[in-house]
Amino acid sequence: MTTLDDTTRYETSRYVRTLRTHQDRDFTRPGGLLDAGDVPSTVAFHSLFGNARLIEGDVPAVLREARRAALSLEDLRQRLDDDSLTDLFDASYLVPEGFDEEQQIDELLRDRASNLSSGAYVSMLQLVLTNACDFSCEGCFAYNFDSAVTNRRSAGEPVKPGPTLLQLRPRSEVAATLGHGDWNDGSALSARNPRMHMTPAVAEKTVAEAVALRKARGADDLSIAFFGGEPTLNKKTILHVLRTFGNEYDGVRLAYRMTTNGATVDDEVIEEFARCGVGVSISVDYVDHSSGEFRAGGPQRVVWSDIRANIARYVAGGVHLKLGSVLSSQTWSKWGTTLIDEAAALGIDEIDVIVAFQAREFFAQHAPSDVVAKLMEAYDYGQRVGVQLTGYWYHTFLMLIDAERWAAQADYKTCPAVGRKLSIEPNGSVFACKATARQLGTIDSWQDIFSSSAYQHYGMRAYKNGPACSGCELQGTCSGGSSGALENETGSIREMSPGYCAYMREVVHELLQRHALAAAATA
Amino acid sequence: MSSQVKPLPPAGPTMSGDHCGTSASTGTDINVAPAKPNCPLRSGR
Repeated sequence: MTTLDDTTRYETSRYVRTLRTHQDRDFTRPGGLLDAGDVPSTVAFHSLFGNARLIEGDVPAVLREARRAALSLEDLRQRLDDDSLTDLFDASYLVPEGFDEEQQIDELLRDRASNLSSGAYVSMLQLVLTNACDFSCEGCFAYNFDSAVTNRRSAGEPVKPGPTLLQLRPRSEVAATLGHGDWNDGSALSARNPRMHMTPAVAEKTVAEAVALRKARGADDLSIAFFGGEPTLNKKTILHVLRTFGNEYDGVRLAYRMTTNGATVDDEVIEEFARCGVGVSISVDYVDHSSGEFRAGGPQRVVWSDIRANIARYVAGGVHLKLGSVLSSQTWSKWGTTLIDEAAALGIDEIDVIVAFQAREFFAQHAPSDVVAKLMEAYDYGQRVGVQLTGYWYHTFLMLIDAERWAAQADYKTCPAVGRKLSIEPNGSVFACKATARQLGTIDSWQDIFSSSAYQHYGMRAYKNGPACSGCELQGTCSGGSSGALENETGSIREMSPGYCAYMREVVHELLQRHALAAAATA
Repeated sequence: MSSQVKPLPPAGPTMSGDHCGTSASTGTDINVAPAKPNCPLRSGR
């Protein structure tokens, strides 16, 4: 920060934004600039740092004036009380004349470049326990994001890319060593989607290495996700990890999550999950009572009533659950309040809504404003029945209003694939995420992972997504969606998807507006 | 907090920080956020 002296003058940060006015509704472009209108009170925020505030009285006018020309401290004190001024300085709404807060981000990026190869930023593991699955869903992570399909094919791996992601085969056609429903034609030697389950030994080595890394860096916690494929098909390794490491190992606290299709569960798993506080996300896109369907891709081997019964078992066993739902072209016509009603009836208070990973295709078929309208209608309905709808879009909003959350995830914002997470395939090959394409290394050499050009490539995409984000009101709180989805769509993790940007700006505006109204109503 | 600049109240909580089941851990020895700015009022000016 610039050194202060008696001659320092202060201006309103170029990054201060407000709620958009009625004349400022073109969400294809950045908006919310201070001079958009003369309003007595509004919500303001800092487009890099969040720090949303309700500003009223003389504050909006003073901020507009100090945006046009810097003011002395005495000028400011004559216009505003000290408490207001202190908060405006603390929130970086007022900065020394000529100061650009992006310098602070650039400084953090320089630090990051020098620290990245130490592994200091890794705080999450995604254990891909198996690539097998007993469902066939549109939008599956396992084969949906792979921009290296051509390379894999040329290397001899028979890959099935495209909208039909999984293929169920009769048991007689599946290799004897694999579980029922295993669809993966890849070999066990393939880096991505190898045809095998993760052994307890691979999982144990991975977690032990990560715990040691965290401890060596002075950190005391680690987040572990059980992922797939369908992770419950590898129950043995899940239980081995939980029973070996528990909730604390060598002074490092461990927090677990699992993403599952909900088709398979037993009392042993429920008991262990309740003991270790494993949070479970069950993927349910919608509920169609007439057909029993609940996932993109149509009929599954089970119907909704089966999944519902399993959810009830988890809940009765004391496991914390949420639902994960994809709003996409495949689910558009069936997606809506029926799922929210089912969640409420089951006592589930959160549905994580992923808005289609294939953004370019999705927003070409559905206008961003139509997507926002559909999402917010469901959001409002959820609020009325006690179910919180969340997702990337909601987390960006939370970063704007919650300073602690912003400070904790300022580097990755909503996509931890940019250096915070390691995704481990069953054979020990390491990626940034199940959704990203470039291999970082293997668990046999952790140091080589962090010094790899691939890890540097993802890890240095922190803070700044790409040039198109400069000037956007969400540049410090939005990741542009999934890095892996962008990589798959554009070939670059730094190239944004314009339809996605318009949708994000509008949905976050809607959330801020609702939140401000609710706050005013209770004031 | 003054009457003219107010924080917004907290919003509904969430179980995890991203769609892939992982949530942030914040205990690294490296701070990922910039230091708070120096407020000229608080520094006695």
